[in-house]
Amino acid sequence: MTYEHRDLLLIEDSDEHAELALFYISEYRPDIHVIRLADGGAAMDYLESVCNLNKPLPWLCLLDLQLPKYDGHEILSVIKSDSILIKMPVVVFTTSAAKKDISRTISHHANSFITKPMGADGYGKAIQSILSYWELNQHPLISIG
Amino acid sequence: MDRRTFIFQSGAIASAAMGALAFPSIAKAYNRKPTIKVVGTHVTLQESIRRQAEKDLGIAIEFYPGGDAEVLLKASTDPLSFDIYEQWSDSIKVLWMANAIQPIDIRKLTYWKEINGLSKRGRLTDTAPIGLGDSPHKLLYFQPDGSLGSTASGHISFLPYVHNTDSFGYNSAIIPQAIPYQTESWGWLLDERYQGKVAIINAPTIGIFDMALAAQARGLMTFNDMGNMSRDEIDALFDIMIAKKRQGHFRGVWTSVPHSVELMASGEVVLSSLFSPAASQLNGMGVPCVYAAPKEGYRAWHGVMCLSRACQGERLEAAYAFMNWWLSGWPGAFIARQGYYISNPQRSKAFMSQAEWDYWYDGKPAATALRGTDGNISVREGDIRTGGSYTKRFEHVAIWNTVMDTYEYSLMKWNEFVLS
Amino acid sequence: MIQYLINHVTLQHRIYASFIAAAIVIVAIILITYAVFANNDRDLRDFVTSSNQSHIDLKLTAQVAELHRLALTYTYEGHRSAADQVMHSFQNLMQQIDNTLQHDSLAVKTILATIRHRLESYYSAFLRLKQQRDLRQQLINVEFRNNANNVEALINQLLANPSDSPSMRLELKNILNTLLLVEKNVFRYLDSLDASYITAAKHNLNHVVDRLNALNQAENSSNSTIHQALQKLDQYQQSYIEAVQHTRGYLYLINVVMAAEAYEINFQSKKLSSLITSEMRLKEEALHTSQTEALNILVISASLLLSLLIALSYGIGQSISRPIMRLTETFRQLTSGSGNAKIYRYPVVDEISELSQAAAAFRDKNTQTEKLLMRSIQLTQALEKNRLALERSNDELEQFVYTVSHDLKAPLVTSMGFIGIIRKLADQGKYEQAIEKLDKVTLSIERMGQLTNDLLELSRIGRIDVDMKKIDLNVLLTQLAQSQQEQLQGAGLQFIVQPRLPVIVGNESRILQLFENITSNAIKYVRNPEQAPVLEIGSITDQGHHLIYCKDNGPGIELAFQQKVFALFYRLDTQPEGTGIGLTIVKKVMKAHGGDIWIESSGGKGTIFWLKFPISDKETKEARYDL
Repeated sequence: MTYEHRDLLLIEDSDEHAELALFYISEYRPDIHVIRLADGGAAMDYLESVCNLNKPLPWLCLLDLQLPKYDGHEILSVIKSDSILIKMPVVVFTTSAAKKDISRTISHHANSFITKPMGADGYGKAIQSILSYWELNQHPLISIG
Repeated sequence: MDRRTFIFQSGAIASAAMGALAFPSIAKAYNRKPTIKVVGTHVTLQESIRRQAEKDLGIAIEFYPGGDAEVLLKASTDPLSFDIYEQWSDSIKVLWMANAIQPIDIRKLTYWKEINGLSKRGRLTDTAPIGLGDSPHKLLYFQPDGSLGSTASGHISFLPYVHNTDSFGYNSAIIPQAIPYQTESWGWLLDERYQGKVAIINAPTIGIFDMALAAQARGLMTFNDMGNMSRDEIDALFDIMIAKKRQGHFRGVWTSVPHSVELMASGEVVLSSLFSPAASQLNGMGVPCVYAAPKEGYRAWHGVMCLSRACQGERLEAAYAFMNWWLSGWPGAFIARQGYYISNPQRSKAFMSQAEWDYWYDGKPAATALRGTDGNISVREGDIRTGGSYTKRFEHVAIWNTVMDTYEYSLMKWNEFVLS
Repeated sequence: MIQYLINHVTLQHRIYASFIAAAIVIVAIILITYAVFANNDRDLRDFVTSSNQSHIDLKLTAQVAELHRLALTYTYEGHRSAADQVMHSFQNLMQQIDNTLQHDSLAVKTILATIRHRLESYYSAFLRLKQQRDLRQQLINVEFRNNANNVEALINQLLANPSDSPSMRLELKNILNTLLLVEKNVFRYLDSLDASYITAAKHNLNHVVDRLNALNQAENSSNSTIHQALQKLDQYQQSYIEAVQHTRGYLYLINVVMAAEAYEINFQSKKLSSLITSEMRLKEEALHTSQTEALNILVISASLLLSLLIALSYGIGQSISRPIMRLTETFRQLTSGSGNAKIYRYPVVDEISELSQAAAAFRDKNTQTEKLLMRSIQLTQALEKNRLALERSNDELEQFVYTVSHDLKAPLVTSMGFIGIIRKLADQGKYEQAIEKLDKVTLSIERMGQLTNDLLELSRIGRIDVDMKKIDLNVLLTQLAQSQQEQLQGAGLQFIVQPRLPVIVGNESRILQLFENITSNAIKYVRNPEQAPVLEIGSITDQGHHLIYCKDNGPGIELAFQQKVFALFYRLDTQPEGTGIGLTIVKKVMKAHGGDIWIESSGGKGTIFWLKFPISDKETKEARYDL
């Protein structure tokens, strides 16, 4: 099985949660390059650079909602209102299970909403499932340029 | 000027009647001088005359003036009450009938011959008509049969002396002045134009003739003899008078000279039978009263003096003296100044000024202002006496005051007239 | 006048005054009417009297006619009773004239006096008439008869003489017959009043006298009997002549004198009547004039009085109605709820002033109601505010719960996640690695504890704000600087407290916590590459507020985040030390003190936290309602 080089954009303020995500991603798919952005401001800068500097569009984006500076909702709406960025699937991965957050992100065209699980094995399984699911996405990624 | 002022005054009648007992028949007893009592009218029994006579004659004279009827009654029933009775010629019949007077012997009358024809024959001139009624001469002479007549004899019933004519007066401010003897007429007294403003004298013996003359002048009736009316004629005349009176023709009758003056002066009456002094008085008051000279002639009257049957001796002589004195001139001049005439004017002429004579007797304008008997001026210079001269006046005598046989009857008719 | 009445006379008295004025006017009009008509009545009475007298002529004429008729009856018939009636009639007439003489008019009096005088003359003439008639009757009935008998007796005596010749006897008989003729003629006269009979009688008598004289001469000797007869004849004649004269006298009196007097009385009566009639006409005119005048006076005075009454009524009416209208207007305003309706004050105490007082009371109630209404509106507004605050509070609570659930779950997720890793590492035998990861779990749980404490702290604010007192910030901050000295020095932060800070009212521990959080924030976040970090606290007092500024020279806060920083758990960076609750507490404390907090900053040039405290207690208290 050949794997294309895949960038995963992880927008997560909590270092601990980022470490957990990186641990499991490296467990299951060591080939996936994780770009972690710790706050909303950095995320916005990065996304801007994707659009302007012809950086490759990440394969998937895991987006936390509770972020310093710009929160996840704001970032989602930027992504989904940009003609390029919109192509990037965004999985909202958050501790929140509030209906308010779910409906809001869905209405902003989030591709998926997963609540961070609380069990000891839950976190790894969630990462595994997300990656497995989006592995099934056979659409070639459209590179910019 | 007191002429006949109160002749009909009832008050005077009263005084005469009441005074009957006091008539001075006893005066002689204590008066040495002969005293004569003269009973008569106010016209001639004037105090100035009395005093003048006493002075001239040296005798005592008493005047008893009074109303006609009562002096007549007294004299006719009591000859002792007077020596001389002086009144109107027409009253003397009564005294004669009563045998109250004695004939006057003309031989004892000094001026008998001077007495003019009017008194002796009823006319001044031969051509003049004789007035109707009892003209004085008709009763003048004692006739052999004891009656009175005009046939001359030695004795007369009365001495005729003062006389005059009467007519009517009118207010010339209301009634235009007419021409004497031509257009002035007794007929005016019954003229409708003067309806309600006519007055006549309240005396049947006089007023009845004024009315008769008026009725005849207006052609209302004629008389067989106006001076001796029959009862039928009296009835006819009074029918006319009463009818007129009922129409309100007469303001009324007057009973005295002042009354007649008052009626004329008040304007209630503009035409009235008048005595001449009333006319003078009215003119003096400023009422333009014309004393008319009616074309039909005047109603004339004659004053006379009689001797009482009882007068004799010394008093008889005194009475004759008084009668002669009256014709001696002065008294005639005196009464001439009051508008009266005397029966022997020529004797008086000497006692008058020429102007007086010309004015009073000759009918000429007054040459100077003339004084009356009271000393006041009674005639202004240039005045002319209406009716003209003495002669002219007495040539126009229509009738003489007369007491007719129908006297009593006329009295009753008069009452009817006055109160109708 | 109206104002005077309103101010000085009570309503009741004004009403009475109007009725009394009306009554006075009516009485005055009645009095005037009475006076006027009383006067007229007098005139009218005069007029009626005159009217009664106007026909006096008819009455007098009739009476005089009757009088004269009676006098004539007596004259011609000789009835004594007629004479008595004449006297009675005369007295009656005199009485009447004397009564009528009371008349006031001089002209009338003059005429009446004339009439009276005429009547007296008439009656005196009648008395004389009576006298003369009596005398005549005496003469006719006694003397005339006696004389006639005497003469006849003497003639008969001569006849009785036998010595007389037959011719003599014939002559005597003739004389006797003639004598009888005299008597007959006299009686004829008396009967017919024809004077010619008297003339005839005279003629007869003269005849007798002549015959007797002839006889006497024929005898040629004085015959005493004949002489006696002649004397008797004279007396005989005297008696009837006198009777004739008396007859004529009284006939003259009745027919001329008395008739003229009667006529004059009638004439004067007519004149009197016409005079009275003309006077009556004058009186009628005068009456008419006086009536017209009276009417005019009446009309004028009545209209004047009525005008006065109208004026008075108007004045009094106005003085009554004006205050009432004012009151009506006042009450209209009052009923529409006005609290400032104009109320007139009246000096006199009457119904109006009482009503005015009532109106004033009404107005006070209105004012109170208005105030209550205002209060109610305020309360409603406050309630609404509270409701909104409650809603907001609910939202906040929801947000809080949401935030809390999210942020509290985060350490749990972390710790469970690392526990899973640890288990995995342990399974793989990587124990060292696994143990390393245990710290992460510990930190995560500690952090959770810290979060829980901070949240507890936050929840306390707003519940413990009852202990308000004056706080001198100079003192408070000096103490703070001393207590934080260590930390400040550790962070190298220069803490400057400006002098003359205000004294505010607040809960001291909260205010202290507020400044601790700010100071703590500064210690955590103030970093300056060029200068030493500085935190400066000072104050400005402006427009009822104390404005406290806390100024640092740190990196500043972008405008986009200046509001967000006060939100719960919001952090501007991922610094592990912060929980994102500190500024939330600060803001809540400020709100609890009725104040506010905002940020003034531009990126890279430091940040100023502005704290606004109200000055007065009142504002502080009111501010509590907002919580």
